[in-house]
Amino acid sequence: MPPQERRAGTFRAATALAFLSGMAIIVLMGWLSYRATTTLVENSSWISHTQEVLSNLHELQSRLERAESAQGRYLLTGNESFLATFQDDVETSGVLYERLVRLTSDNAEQQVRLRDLRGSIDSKIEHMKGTMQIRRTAGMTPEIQQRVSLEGKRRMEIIHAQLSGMAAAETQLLAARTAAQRRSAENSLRSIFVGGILALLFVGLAGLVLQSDVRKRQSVERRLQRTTALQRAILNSANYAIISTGSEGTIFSFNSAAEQLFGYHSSQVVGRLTPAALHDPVEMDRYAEQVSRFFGQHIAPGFEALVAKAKLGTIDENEWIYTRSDGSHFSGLLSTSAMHDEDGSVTGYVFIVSDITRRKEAELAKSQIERRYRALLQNSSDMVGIIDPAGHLQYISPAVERLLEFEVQELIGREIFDLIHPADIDAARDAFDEMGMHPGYSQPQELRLRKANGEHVVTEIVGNNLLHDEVLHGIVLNVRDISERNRVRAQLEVQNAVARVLADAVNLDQSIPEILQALCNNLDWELSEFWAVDPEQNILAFNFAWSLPGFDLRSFLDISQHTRIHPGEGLAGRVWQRAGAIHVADISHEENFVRRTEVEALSLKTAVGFPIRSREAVIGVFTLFSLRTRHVDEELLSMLNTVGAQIGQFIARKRAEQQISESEDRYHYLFENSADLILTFAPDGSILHLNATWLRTLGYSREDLMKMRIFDIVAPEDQESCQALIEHALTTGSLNKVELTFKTRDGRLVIVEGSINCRYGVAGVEYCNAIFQDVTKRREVDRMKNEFISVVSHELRTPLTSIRGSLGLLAGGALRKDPEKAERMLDIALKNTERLVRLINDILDIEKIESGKISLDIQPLDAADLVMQASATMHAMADANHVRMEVRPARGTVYADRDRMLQTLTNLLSNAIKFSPPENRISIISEPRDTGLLIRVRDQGRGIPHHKLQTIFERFQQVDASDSRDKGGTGLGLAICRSIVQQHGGAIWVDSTEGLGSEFFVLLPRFQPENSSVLPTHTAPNPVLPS
Amino acid sequence: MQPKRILIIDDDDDIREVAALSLETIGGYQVLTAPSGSVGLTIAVAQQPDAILLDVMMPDMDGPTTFQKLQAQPSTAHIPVIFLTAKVQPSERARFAGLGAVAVLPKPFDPLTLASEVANALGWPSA
Repeated sequence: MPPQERRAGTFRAATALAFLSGMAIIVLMGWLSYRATTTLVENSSWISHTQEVLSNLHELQSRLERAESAQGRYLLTGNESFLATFQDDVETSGVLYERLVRLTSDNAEQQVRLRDLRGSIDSKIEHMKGTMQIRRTAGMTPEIQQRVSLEGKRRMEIIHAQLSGMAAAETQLLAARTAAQRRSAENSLRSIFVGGILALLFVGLAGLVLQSDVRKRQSVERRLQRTTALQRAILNSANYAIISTGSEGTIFSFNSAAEQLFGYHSSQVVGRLTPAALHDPVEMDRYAEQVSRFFGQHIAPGFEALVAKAKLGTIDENEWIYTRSDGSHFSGLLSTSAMHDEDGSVTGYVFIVSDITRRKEAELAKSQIERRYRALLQNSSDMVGIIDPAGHLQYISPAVERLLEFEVQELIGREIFDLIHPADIDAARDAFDEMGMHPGYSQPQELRLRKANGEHVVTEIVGNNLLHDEVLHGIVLNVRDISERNRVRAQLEVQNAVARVLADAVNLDQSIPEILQALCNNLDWELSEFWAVDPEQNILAFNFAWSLPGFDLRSFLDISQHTRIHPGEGLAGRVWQRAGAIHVADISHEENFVRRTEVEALSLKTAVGFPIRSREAVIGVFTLFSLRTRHVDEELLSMLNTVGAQIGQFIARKRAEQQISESEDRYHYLFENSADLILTFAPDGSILHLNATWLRTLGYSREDLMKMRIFDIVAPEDQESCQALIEHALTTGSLNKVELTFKTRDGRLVIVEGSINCRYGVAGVEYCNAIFQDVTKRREVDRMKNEFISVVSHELRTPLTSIRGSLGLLAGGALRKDPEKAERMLDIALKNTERLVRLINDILDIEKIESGKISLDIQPLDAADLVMQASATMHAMADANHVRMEVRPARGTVYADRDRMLQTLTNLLSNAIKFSPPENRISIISEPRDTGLLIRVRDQGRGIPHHKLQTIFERFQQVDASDSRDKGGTGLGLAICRSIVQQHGGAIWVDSTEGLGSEFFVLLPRFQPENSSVLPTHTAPNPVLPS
Repeated sequence: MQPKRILIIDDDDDIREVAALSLETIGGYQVLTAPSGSVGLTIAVAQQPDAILLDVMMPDMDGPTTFQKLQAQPSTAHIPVIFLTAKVQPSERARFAGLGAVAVLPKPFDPLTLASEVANALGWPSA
């Protein structure tokens, strides 16, 4: 037996002995305790029994005494009520007696005493009853009373003695019983005390043994816990998932790494699953088949298969695809080993799983990269070769089969120079020498390589000197076919060259020579020409030709100048008709070719033509000629079509630009020269743009106005309405029949009429255009016209009133009885009719003169004769008015309309006569002046008030309206004079002093004086020129 | 009963004469005349006519000025005034009426109905 188990056996025996001993003592103590308790209970019962007996004895005595007392009172009083009390006590005494008999039934001595007591009680009761009977029958006598008392007392004493005896016996019995009980209880207590001590001893002994054992166990347990924690820590800190199972497969432990790796908590798997559950079933099946083959026997998929090899003692390692709890997968390397006991039996297995996903991915990536590089080399359009220091090809990629059309094997070992174009050999040797000297990459080298069919291909070769590389020990060549790139580059250069020419060109005609040159130079053609479409004649006409030096183009150009090509005719005609590029590979074999002789004379072999298309119409054709027979492919034709379209777009753009420019010029001209006031302003009223009319109208400079807002130029009294108008325009978008008043820089008011139109942008109104007409003059004319109509109407109505009134009275017969008044009325009617006729004539006259409807008949007139004739005409009137007239004419020739000037002078003379009092003198004097002939008509009349001097020449502005009636005037005479003089380019004015007279001056500019006959001059004092 | 007296103020002699004759003959009124505003004012104060026919376009003192002076004088302010004018455009007539005249009669007038027009305007029994 192992010592550990022996120790455990001794420990178990010791603890069992101590435990049994303790238990025996406890049982003994229990029995003793039972006994003592039983005795106590019994004794207690006796005590209460004795007490009950004593109590009954005492009660019995008390009742008997009460009965005796009641008897005594009855005897003394004879009161019947005492009889009832007596009877009650007697009966109760009986009851008590019977109870005592029952209580003491087990005590023979007491039963004897009770029987004796019975007799005494009965005797006593009989005695009392007898006495009471005597009392009732015989009444109470002292004798009786005495006898009764003594006898009763005696009998009662007997009873007392008996009761005391019984009580003493009972008390004695109780004392004996209590003593016996105390003894028994004391024995029990002693036994219990001793047993308790013993039990305590034994239990304490067992406790000590137990405590010792518990300590030992706790110590062992702590050590075990530490060891377990260490193991768990080691397990959990491992990077590997470590899973242990029992021999049958149930998982015992599942470390932290396993939890992280598989996504399960250990509680989900420990005791529930086997590691096989973590595997992919398909893979598991395959593995089971594999191990089955290995062992030559069927092994079921699952845990058995997993541990099949480990069971034999080997460590089994395999890569697996595991499934995590979330369904995702990872690659794991599983190492399985078995755990054995001392006998060598398998007690369980340990599964160690490491995550090898990254390693797998890296392996996969590496293999993919390798495959990719391989594919790159296989499929690359670039060819890769490796040459040794001597230039022999050691490796060449399969691209060579496509690039040079050689088999790879044909070229391995051959010198690279065998493949190089003879013309490029020297350059190639230099390049390879350079490569050999410097490790790393070389500069790109353009070399032509020979193809299997003998043709050459233009390549760009970049070398990488890896001679120092132990594996390669050579120069790696990257060879790229750049023939296409070169061709595209050449085409791009053509397009760029044409674009550059066009960018700087003003128009197509000027840029044609440069385009032709660019085409030849960049595409390697010798001669180029341009034919322009003449849309009216529907022909192509020669425009220009350009060639490389060395061509004698004289006869070619001569014939070209006179050639007209129709649609479909020759190369150019076909290009025009087809509207696309066409080439003629061999001119000598082309039937439809214009100027064949001249072209062949220049040894030109191949030609190509392409159209210029602008807005879908062909407007010209370019043709190119080459001295060589050239292969022209579709790509070149396509490129030429592109160039043609490019030029066409340029022309379309230029035309559009020109149209826009012309249109802008037109609009700008209209804008700036419009009589209208045109203005653009922002919604806040800021002036954005305005035409020159504003500058003329308002007198501000453009700079000043551009800093202003529209409100700054609106007249103060129009500010509010301007604000309202603009707000209305901004709301509705437009406003017509706007009327505003602006204020000029010098404070004049300008009335305008027009419209405002607003233009909208994304954020609402962007700006507003306003077009106004200056209606200030028109308004003034309207006002004057209205005033004139009013005045004329008044002037016409005034004589008409008299005519209508006088004739009305006559016609109505109101004056039939008064011929004098009737005649007077006729006079008034007649006079006013004449006045009306004069008025109408004058109105028509001035209207004709001022409107230019009457053309003056300007003649050279004798100035003196003119003045004389006018004065002669007025002589009669002067005489009639008793006015003397002085005439002093100057000699010379004046250029004037005779009739009109006579009308003017007679009018002035007529006025002078009319306004001169009788016997006064008037004069008409003419004098030559530097500025012409001055004619002065002076009177000594009442003169003209100063305030009338400015308006006297206006219509109906006579000093006194009644003058027109009194003096036979119309109020238009001076206005007519002014019009006539002004029509002659002359001037008329007046000088007057009220009360002293007036002097009218007429200056006629076209005058040729006669020097010898110049009369003394008279200077007009500060002539007042009419406004 | 004394006939009503009407003062005609007009600078045109012929019109004055024709109008006076019309009012006297047809209307039976007694007519006073004045050739200018200033003379008219003097006569009005002195003679206290029952009504005044006042021309508008007169030199020196025109009709509206004369009217205002008549209105300004306590002794003539009560005399009703009728403008008799050749200024017949609506705007002009409105202006004269606005001054406070009883009526504005146009020139030329019908001499046979002038008296009744005046009577109507003044609320007098028709002549």
